[in-house]
Amino acid sequence: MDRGEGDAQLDEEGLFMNLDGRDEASTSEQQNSQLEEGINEWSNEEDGGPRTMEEEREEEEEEEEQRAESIPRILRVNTVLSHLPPSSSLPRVTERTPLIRPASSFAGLCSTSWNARVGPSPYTAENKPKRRPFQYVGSSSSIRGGGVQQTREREPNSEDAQLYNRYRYYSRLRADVHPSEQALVIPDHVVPPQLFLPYIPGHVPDADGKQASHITIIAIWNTMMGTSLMTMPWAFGQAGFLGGLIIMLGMALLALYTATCLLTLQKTMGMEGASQELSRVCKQLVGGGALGRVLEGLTVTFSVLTLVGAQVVYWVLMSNFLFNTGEVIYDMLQGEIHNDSSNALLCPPNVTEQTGNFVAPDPVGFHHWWQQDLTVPLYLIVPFLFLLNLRDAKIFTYFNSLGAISVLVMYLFVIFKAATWGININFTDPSNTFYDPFFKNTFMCLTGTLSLAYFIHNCIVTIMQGNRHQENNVRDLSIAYTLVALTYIPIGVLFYTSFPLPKYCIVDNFLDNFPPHDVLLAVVRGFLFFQILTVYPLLGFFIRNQLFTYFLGPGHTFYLPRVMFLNALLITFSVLVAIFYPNIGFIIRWVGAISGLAYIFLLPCLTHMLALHTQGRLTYPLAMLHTVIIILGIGNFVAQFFTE
Amino acid sequence: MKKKVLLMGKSGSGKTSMRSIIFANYIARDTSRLGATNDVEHSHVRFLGNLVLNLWDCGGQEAFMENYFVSQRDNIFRNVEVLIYVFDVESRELERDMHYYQSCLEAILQNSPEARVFCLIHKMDLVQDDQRDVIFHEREEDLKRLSKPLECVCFRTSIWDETLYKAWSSIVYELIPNVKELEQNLKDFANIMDADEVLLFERATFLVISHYCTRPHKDVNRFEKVSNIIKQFKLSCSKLAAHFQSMRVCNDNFAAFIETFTSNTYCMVIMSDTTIPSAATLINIRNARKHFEKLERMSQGHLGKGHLSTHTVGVTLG
Repeated sequence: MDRGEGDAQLDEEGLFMNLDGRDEASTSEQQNSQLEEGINEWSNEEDGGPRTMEEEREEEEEEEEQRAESIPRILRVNTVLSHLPPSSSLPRVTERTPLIRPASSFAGLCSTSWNARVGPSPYTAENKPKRRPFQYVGSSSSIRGGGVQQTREREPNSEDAQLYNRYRYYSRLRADVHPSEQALVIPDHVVPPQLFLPYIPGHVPDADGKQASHITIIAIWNTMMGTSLMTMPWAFGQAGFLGGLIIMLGMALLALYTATCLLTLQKTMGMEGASQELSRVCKQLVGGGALGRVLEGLTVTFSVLTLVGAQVVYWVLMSNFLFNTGEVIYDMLQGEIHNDSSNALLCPPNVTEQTGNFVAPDPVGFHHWWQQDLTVPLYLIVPFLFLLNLRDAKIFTYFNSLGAISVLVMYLFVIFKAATWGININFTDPSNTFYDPFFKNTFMCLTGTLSLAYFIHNCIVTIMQGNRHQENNVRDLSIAYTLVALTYIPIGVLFYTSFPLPKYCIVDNFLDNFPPHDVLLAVVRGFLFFQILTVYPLLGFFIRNQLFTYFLGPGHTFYLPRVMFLNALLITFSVLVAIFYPNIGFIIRWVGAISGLAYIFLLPCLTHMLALHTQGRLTYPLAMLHTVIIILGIGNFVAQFFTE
Repeated sequence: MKKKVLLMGKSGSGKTSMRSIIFANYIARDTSRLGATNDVEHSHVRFLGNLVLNLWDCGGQEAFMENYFVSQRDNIFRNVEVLIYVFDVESRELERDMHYYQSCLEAILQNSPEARVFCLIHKMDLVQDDQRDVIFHEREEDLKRLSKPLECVCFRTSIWDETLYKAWSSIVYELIPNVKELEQNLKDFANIMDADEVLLFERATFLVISHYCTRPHKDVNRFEKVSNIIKQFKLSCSKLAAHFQSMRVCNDNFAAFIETFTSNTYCMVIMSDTTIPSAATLINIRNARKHFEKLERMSQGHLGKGHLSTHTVGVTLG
């Protein structure tokens, strides 16, 4: 359909003012007031224009009103604007037509004075401040005695002024566009740098919105520190003493190397410019098209798989912590006293108990309704029905720091306990209760667990983009990995070495080796419960976001029914696993092996080799090295099948 | 017969944004990429009277596009007056870009050999300041070489600085058939009226076609500013289903008149002599209108030249 002259773009509704004889007085007055309001609004918005145009507009308004007085009402509309001749294709509306903007409430605005709305001005003619819009420097020229011959000290900012002019015009064009569309949005590199920051008196902000190295390092540490911490002692035990140490160090180095590969992929490819998202770089590498789509699909699949695995583990842990917290509170209410609480240790139910009070699962009363494997997972559904369906996940990120506190507390706790228990390990005599061979054939449990423990590869590029000194990226990553290793390894090794019961008693969540009423751990469990409570919806949000973006494109909107459906699936899955197979060691090592294979081994090595190949820098030794890494990854995955 | 201006380029090169800005249209979502019969164009906007701008996207499904070049070629490329081809400066697939460009040129040679070709190297704000000239000249050489035997004129543009406006102004300037004559007449007009400056704007886009200043002005960006302001005003007006006809701004120091002039143009007259009543200027403009319209009609009918007569002297004082 030809859209007319190109001057006026009528939309389908055909907003059209009536020029009928009927109701002339009232409707035309309303229309005039709307029109005036439109002009006033428009001219009030343009407060940043150069002086001449400000004057122009003010004068124009005044002039229009002057002229308006002397001409009958109907024609007021016609002095400055002329209407299109009525044509049969346009609908005629007899009553007041609504404006596109919901401005009908402003209809009365022009008739009341500005003062009546905001109060009288506190400034008199003498003390009126000479304020100018931000893009001007130099004194404001005054109208008296100046006019067109103004001082032009603002020459240096004429470009800024023009940019601002353009920005306003383009914003106008965008008025009817969905905010998520990127067209005509002013990009950061175009905005003059001095405009970037709001000025807060007394506060010296970071000029570029980036963070210092130590904050990046802490962010990485916090992100990597997860539930695998509690699995560490058990996992370490699965690999034997020496085997465990070698694997822990080796995995840390390997994961660090491949994370560095991913981080520097863009540079290896020779792509200049700002750091881009990993998926985009990979797409660039592969060249787009069908292969790119497949690659993207694989990326999403593995990412979602990791997140779902993490969610399931979280649900099991939450049930655990909630259960224990409930037990503590119940015991306190019942007034039970545990006299050797500080030294109590547990062995899991299918091994004979040694010491300490062990609350036997009493099938009647409170304990009937409060069982870790049966009922508590179901009770957990209640808060999540609401939390998971929230649209915006930002609120949950604030609680992330609770996890860091819990980790520190656990760390100190383990050191303290290890100090009290002393070394309880024996390397030579198989009949000793504390015997631990140097190497065990269940080492793949450790490798699988560590694959998840050192996993940050899917978001390392995003986190590092905020680093202020990009040249320090690799250094900061190395420091972060060292810190993480220094957290995991001592907890695993110390706890395992000093544990005073037979080593097979160590559970894959070492907090379970302590009875519920241990005060310090009760507090730790409480913290962790609350932290996981807030991380679970965050994971749900990521899963939702990735799946919907992949299938529906980046413009997808929040549509409650399908979000609820997805959440119902996720919760059902988590609850079923928590009830029937709450074995987090198993889940962690499998999820770790699968996603590790994809993200820690395959993706970095393949893309690194491909990037080097396109640059012509792929040498034989490098190719061999990376192929070996890939084989290790595949072996890690396959070995998971072979534990007994 | 309407002649076409084809705006072509790879997907994502900025054509729709450019068109939105120049023509003050709302940004159209491109729904009909794979439209029914031959509707790959999104919009028809008329400008300069008898030219119609067609926006044509060259990206996305390559196989389809290749096919399209073959089957719909005559339809699209006939009666083309101007081809504006947009290149994205940060595109990594230069080979493919050039390939498409050359296919377009071939089609143009076959169907509309008289067409003018303009190449816009777009998104220059993404290139660092010191490299812009170098990169532009490099691309320009390549394009000139590839375009033979057709001649192409290259511009470098970015929507975030004045280069977009200047490029389109230049393009429109070259499309006006008798622009030199127009300028001469404008000069006479300005002198007769004692105006500070007289500008001619194209009607649909408010791009400055030509201007004449008797008194120089320091703000070099004033054309773009006026153009943007008026386009914003037109946007507001269009919401009230009104279209812009004229504007008058009077002040202690100057008077500015923006009036519809000929069927394709608006004129803007700046008078700093405030003793001249505005009615006089309006009469002058009205009389000049007839003359310029005749000029336009003559140029379109390729008749002889004309002179601004002294009827317009009319009502000046002193």
